[in-house]
Amino acid sequence: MAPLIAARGVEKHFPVTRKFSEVLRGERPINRAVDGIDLTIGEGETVGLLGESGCGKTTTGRLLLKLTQPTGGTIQFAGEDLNQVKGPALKRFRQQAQLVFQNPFDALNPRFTIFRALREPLLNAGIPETEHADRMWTAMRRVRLPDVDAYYDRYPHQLSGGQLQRVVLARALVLEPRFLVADEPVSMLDVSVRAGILNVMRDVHATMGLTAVYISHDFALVRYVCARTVVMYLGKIVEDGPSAEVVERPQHPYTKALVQAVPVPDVNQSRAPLPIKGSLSQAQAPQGGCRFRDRCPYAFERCASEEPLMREIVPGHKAACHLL
Amino acid sequence: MSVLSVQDLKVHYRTDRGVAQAVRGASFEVPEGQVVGVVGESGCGKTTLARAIMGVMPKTASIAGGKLLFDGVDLVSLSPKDLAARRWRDIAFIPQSAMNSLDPVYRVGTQIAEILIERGGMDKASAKRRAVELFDMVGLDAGRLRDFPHQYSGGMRQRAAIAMALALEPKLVIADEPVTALDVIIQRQVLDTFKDLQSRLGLSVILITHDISVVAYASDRVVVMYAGEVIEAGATAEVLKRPFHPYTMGLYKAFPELHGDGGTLVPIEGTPPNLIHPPSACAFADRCPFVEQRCREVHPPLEPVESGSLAACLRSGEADRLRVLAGEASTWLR
Amino acid sequence: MPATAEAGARRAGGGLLAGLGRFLTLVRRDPFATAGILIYTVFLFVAVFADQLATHDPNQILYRANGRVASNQPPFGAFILGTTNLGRDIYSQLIYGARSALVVGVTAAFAVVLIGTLVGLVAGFFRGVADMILMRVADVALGIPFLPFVIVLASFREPSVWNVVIGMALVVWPSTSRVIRSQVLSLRERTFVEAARVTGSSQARILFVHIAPNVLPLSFVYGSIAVGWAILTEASVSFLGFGPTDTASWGSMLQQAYAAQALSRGWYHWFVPPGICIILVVVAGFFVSRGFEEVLFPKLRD
Repeated sequence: MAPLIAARGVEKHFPVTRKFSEVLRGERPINRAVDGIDLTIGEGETVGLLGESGCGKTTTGRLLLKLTQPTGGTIQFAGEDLNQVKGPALKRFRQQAQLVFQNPFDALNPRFTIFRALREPLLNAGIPETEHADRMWTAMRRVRLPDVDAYYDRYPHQLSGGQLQRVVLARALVLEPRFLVADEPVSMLDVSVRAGILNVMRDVHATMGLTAVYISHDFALVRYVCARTVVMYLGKIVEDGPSAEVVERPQHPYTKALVQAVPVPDVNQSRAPLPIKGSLSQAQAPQGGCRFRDRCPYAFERCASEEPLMREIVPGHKAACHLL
Repeated sequence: MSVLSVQDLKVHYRTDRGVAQAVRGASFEVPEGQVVGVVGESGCGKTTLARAIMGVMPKTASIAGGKLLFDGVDLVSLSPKDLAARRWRDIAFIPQSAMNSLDPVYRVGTQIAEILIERGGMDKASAKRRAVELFDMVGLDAGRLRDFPHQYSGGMRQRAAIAMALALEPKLVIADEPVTALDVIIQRQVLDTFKDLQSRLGLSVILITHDISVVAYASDRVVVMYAGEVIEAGATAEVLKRPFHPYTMGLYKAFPELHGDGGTLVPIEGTPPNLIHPPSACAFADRCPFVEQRCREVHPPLEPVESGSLAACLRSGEADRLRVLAGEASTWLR
Repeated sequence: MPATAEAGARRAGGGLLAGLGRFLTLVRRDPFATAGILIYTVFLFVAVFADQLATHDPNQILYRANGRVASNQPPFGAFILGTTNLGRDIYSQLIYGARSALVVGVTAAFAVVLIGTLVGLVAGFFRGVADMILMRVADVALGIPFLPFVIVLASFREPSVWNVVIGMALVVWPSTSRVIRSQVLSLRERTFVEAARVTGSSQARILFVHIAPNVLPLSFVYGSIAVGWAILTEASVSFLGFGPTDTASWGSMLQQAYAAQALSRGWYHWFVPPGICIILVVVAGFFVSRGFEEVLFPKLRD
């Protein structure tokens, strides 16, 4: 399968607002939100980007959509270098790559009816007006809001969170994109409606053959929606493999802790202490070597001196740890 | 022996469109030394309930009926001044975001000491000793007492909020989504610390959350709320293993499982009812796949069921059969 | 697509009804704003129908039947509000004063809002160099003392009400543009703006279709304040004697009354009516702006 997306050594470094003491000392701290990522995504693949807040997963998603420029490395989309994409080519790319947002309550213009919100991408793409009604109807069917007349005239504040997120998804699908990024699409929704959105996303991937990146901190959700899981830690990918493999046979010590920490609705679950120390914080991230070593219970000298590279454990399952 | 007995509590909010009945006759007990998880989706009344017990309600809210018996005293009948005197000392609060309970312009240590001195009547030296002791307890380095809240990470702030809540050894702690804002690993670590302290100190806790996993992990008993009412309550192990209310059954299946295939998730279609004109019969009827005509006519009482829990469903007698059906996603699709 | 056309028609009807509903909400929620709108309506009516409502030419010197100048006539006689010391009809001056006040107020407010909103939109949306330059110009404009500026302007040009309008347009826009800019800065970070970008909207479309309508209510707020501000300024300039002499305005009425020592002579019917009119219109501007804020930003309330 030809890769739809090929990211090579992608970096995104942000300058950090300096403290007064740092200004005096002439230091210029930077936030290495994404720090050298290689990621290849095949056409039709569903990939979960998993990690704690601050691991760079959202920035990675924005980089893949060219919503922010990388400070290093290249991203190819269907063979085209996104750094070079401009003008009409950028417009074409925008039609093919869509985003579903974390906060559905803010993702729709409050002054637009649902009708206008859904039509916006079609107008921008210059789709002939005769096709609009059909396309919008199809998208609304896909997200299981078939009763379109009940929605078109309404404003966002008249819909519930679950309905809003479906409309947001429909807007993303109305141009029949090839690539979809969903950034924590259910984390702001009530539990009872989450399942509905997740099921719709699963169906959409299956019926449209869509390539999708699903950004989440929730292991169980990623496993439910995505065939492949990529685990990030402080701007780096530390593990990458089929979701079932990663959950059942996690290789990296960080992934192991994550799997064990996932809350499950079972009274008889394991309550053993997690094999991890401290908390994730950019300020304390060690430079050079393995970034996880301060929290890793198995760290040894080599972890401080040499950065572990991704290596294949079994075909399709890679992790970056010296212990492997 | 119950530390707190909530009896037929009713809380109303004045809104532009009318009176919203946020809590509509909720009753449950908090046994001494146990953690009671109150679970439900947003707008179910769980946070209103917590605020009512704390006696910190917005001006538009009022207790419209019922009792809150704490140590034999009805908190509803107390004056705001008497209630305030009990806050921190008898009943303490851990908010979702510790930023709300920590003042950004004072050092964390100063804030804890202030509670100990003002509310606990300690002198400065012993307040300082106690603050160090508290930080030890919640797993924070005592050196960080001199830091300001913004220098803490989210997990540390939440630990500091726990230390503050436990400062005066309260009998009851109300924790409103104490770990929701945290990452899973930190969530688990904070929860472990809290649970460990709870059992060591014999604390009674009301743990308010939307996350049934947190309830499963940390609570002894569970109270499921829906549209301002308690619809199921009992020992956590029993309620989660054998739910008798269709809403609980659905909620349990609404989370994907980490291990195993798990099948398709159950979506509970629809939205909770409007609480300005709440239905007089079963509030879940409109979203329930097992709804019958009588469900729309009769209000289901919260009654004991076979397992020893309480459930408010007219069809709780058929729960064993319904539970199997509720496991199928197709049951919930309409 | 008959279904869509029908839906379109329904949408339009909904808009009208919703507008009416919003107005009724305003009346119920904010009696002050309603009072402001009523005052505006009355003055608008007077300004439009001044020719019909006035009993005399405001600048004409009137004579009595005996051929003498009808100066210092008491009110409620042959002349509704009496006459000035030079025999002009005070009531008619007041009526035509409403027209010039309205022309000055509305044009000045429009100019201020237009410039302020455009500058605020561009500076907030594009940031960078454009923002820097526009905001430094705004700083300079803010540093200019307004009333002296208008007076200097009047002495360079012909005395005319347009001096006030030009002065307002050149000096008062920064306060509007600063507020609009900060609103744009927060709007551009909103998810729906990013969503517009992802769905392929052009920069211009994002700015004018997604962001501008969301700051327009704020522009109206500043516009209705500017109306009162402009009328007040026009009155001040005229009172200080830098206004046009050929047009009746409330400010020039006050100036003439002052020059004729109306206060010490107890000619209240001369200077009290224009004073009240100025106060009413200016206060109405503030009431309306407050109401705008309340109704058009329901989010602020919740």
